[in-house]
Amino acid sequence: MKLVDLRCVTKAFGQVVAVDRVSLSIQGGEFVALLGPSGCGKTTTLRMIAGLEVPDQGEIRLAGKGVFSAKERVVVPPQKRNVGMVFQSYALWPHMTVFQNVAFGLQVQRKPRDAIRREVRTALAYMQLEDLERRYPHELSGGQQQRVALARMIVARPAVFLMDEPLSNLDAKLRTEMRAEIKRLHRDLNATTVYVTHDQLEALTLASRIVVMKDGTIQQDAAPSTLYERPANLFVAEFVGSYPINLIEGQLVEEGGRTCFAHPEVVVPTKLSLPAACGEVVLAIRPEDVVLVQDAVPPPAEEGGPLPATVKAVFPAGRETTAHVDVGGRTWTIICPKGTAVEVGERVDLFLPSARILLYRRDTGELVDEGSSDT
Amino acid sequence: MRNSHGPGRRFGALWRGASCKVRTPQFVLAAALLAVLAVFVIIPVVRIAVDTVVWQTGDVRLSRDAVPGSLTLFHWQRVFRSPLTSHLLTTPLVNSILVGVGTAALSLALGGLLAWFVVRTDMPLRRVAGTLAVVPYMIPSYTLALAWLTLFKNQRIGGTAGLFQYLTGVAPPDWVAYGLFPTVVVLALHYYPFVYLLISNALASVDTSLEESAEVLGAPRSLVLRRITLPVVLPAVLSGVILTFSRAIGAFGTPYFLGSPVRFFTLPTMIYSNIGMRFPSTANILVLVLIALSTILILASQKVVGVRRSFVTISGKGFRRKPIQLGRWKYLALAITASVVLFAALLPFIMFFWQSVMEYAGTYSFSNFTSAFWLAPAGTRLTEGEPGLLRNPEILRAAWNSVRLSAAAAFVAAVLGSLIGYAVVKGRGTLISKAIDQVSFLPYLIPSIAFGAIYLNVFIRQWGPIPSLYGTFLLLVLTCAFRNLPFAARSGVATMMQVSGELEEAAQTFGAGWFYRFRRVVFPLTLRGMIVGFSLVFMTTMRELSLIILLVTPQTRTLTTMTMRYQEQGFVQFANAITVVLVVMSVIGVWAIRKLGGQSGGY
Ligand SMILES: Nc1ncnc2c1ncn2[C@@H]1O[C@H](COP(=O)(O)OP(=O)(O)O)[C@@H](O)[C@H]1O
Ligand SMILES: [Mg+2]
Repeated sequence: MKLVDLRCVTKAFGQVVAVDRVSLSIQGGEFVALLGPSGCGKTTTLRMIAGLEVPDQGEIRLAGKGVFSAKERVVVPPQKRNVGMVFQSYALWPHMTVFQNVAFGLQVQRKPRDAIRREVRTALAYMQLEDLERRYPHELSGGQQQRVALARMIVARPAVFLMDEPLSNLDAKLRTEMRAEIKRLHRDLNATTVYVTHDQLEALTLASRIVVMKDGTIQQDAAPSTLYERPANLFVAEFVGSYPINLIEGQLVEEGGRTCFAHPEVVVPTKLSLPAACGEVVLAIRPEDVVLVQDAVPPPAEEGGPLPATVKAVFPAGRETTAHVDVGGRTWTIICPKGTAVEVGERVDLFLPSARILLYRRDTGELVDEGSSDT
Repeated sequence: MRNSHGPGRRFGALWRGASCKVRTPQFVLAAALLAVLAVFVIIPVVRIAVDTVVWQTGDVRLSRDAVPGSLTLFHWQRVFRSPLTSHLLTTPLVNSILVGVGTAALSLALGGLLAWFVVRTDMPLRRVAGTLAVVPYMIPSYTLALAWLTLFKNQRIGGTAGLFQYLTGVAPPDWVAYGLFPTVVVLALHYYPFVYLLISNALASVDTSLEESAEVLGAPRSLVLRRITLPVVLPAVLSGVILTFSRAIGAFGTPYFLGSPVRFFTLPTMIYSNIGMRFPSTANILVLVLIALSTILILASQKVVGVRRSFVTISGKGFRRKPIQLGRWKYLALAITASVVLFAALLPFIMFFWQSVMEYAGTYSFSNFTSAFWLAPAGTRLTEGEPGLLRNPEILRAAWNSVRLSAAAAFVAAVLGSLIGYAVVKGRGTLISKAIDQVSFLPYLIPSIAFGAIYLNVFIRQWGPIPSLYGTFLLLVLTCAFRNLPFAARSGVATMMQVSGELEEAAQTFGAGWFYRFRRVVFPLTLRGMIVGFSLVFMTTMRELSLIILLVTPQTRTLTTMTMRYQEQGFVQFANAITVVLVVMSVIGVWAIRKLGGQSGGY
């Protein structure tokens, strides 16, 4: 069942269009990450789902019920939407103890006292906060505050969990720990979750589906692996990935009956089977997909090479070595397998396996694939 | 069909257009607040302005042509262009301005000097002096005037002579005892703490490394002072001067006590006198003149203070350099500081107490001691049958009135102030929020006596659904609450700013409706701020005289107005005993506010 359904939702603040015609459907039990750089409209989208912002246009349905519709002039206020939210600041009430904070949602629902006590204790135990129930928020560490915010949300059993950059105020180690915690929470409760983050690693590790946003619009809506393997446009390609993706400009031409990427220094055959009508393109390839070949070694049986390059910097890091190389004026990042000994200034050959390359139209930045080729 | 949408219908009704934020209860609250402010602030001012160009029922006394209800310029002509102009307008206006200029100049001298001693020099006991320097402001200003009379009065107004004449045998001349000179001195002793605070803050925020680096570069002291220190301190000086000026021209008690014996009138006392003589339209015109004068000054001071802020941010955090070595002069500095504090705070208090235990006023010998005015039972001859202060049902009732008036006014102001803060902060950017913000500041522009005069005029008769409130306790509460609303609203806005909007939104996502949210989250979080606002208004109302003097009746008398009555009747001991009680209550109150305010940084 579609638990969250946004149709063509638009929201502007004065001249700034924060969210621009966003459509998004989320099934029950999904963990969807809204990913994008700061200011792209993620928080605004989340707040519109919660009802804390009123959209200008479009329609929002929660669990099949219309909670906002510009056409029908329907606005259901947040308190009637049955969503739970973890704010970036946690928004714990400073004048209430941990227990009172967590109990609040149940008190609103007018549950009997002992039921409240029981459920709060269970939630606190689940988040490993049993001994802290009498503390006030300012007496807790950042990680503990984060746990209280999560406990407060789950105890009220909302239909949808909304989380706005919940880990951004934690240090790196705690962040890894809390990431596991959130994953456990989702697995145990199977709760539909919308998770806002600007950290692509967080999104890739947590989400079952990622929605990448930029300037208020959705760039790509896909599973994490698809997002990484086949980014829909150059923006997504560059935004996703721990290391920057490598780019080189060229043309699509036909050569020997195959569609090839052509550059003055290199020709790479592609898997595309189409008349070479696309013209100007950008080739993109992930650092770990580039094959680096040193002089002494006989050329491998790879297609797509050799592309000459000069090593500019080397960063050995135990398991793998990262190298920065100069390719016709562009800097590429390359991850070489353990044991590769390259030196700064060394001339090397790069091979670009046909199966691993991505081609984007230079004018629109869109991915060139079988379906979109004939435009 | 559209309307059959369950929740949609209810909220759809208030849903207006694409870009409008719908926060139904907030909007209703803001509209209600604006309506309340209109009824109690805007419309009264407009009404008295309109009344001045309409013949009133009582005007038949003034002119045979008076047709009650029809338009006339008679009153304006009477005030601005008639043989009476000099008496009604020009002289009081000139006197007010003289009082203002004199007070501002003297306050600047005292406040500036003390600020410099405390912040920049090696005067001994600087910290203690810094704390004591603001004490005079805690004492009601007219009590200083009474103290002055006790010291310097001659026998011109009958009764006994003051302490000065008792000790020296020389009668102080009239100009020392009454009129402009003592008014200026007394007001300056009361208001210099304003200037002191402003200038010492500015001096402390001058980044002294700027001055030092200039000196290192070989700039002479005078150049450093002129080019670096002065530009930073000047805005503080200007705003201090304007503030004391505007307060001084609105003061009623001091010029009343010190001016009346020699028929020295300022605008406030002339307003009072005209209301006493039942010339309300004349009084109203003078009220408008006073409001205009004070508005111009306060707006000017806001401009200046705005400038000052930008200076402070530029200069950043100052740190104290080596204080200026005064050498032997530092004892002179200490003597000056000590005598200001002594004259403005300590001496008056001692004198009041002394006076209140004298059998015969003006006889300062030990054998003249009596506790009658504090403790005597009813029927004692010495006190003309009135029981001593602590047993006097009338005084005790006045004390009770003072306390409950202050509490009620403070409660109303604090609650309204918080709601205003909520509406203003939540609705930031909307027109209605700006309107509320501006209107709640308006009473600040109206001097107390003028505010009292306006309420007297508007609420003396029935007004629409509001019955005549004259003589009711409620009227006093409303007057004090709305006059002090600007302070409560400022404090409300400041508090709400600190309560992040997400705290309320979080409650909202848990299904809490507006009232529930307000009760469980917004209210508790703003409670401390509200208590501070409450105490501020409570203390101000406790020592209020000018504001309510026109509105009290025998049943609603407060301690301050009792003092005035006893003073007028020559019962100096009673007046002084009450003043002692008031001063003690004030100082305790201010101390308590400091404590509360210090803790309110809480979360
Ligand atoms: N309350 C607001 N008033 C005005 N502009 C806002 C407001 N909230 C967000 N914006 C603007 O909308 C855009 C999107 O903001 P936001 O949704 O917070 O982005 P993100 O969470 O992705 O960083 C930004 O340009 C931001 O400045
Ligand atoms: Mg955000």
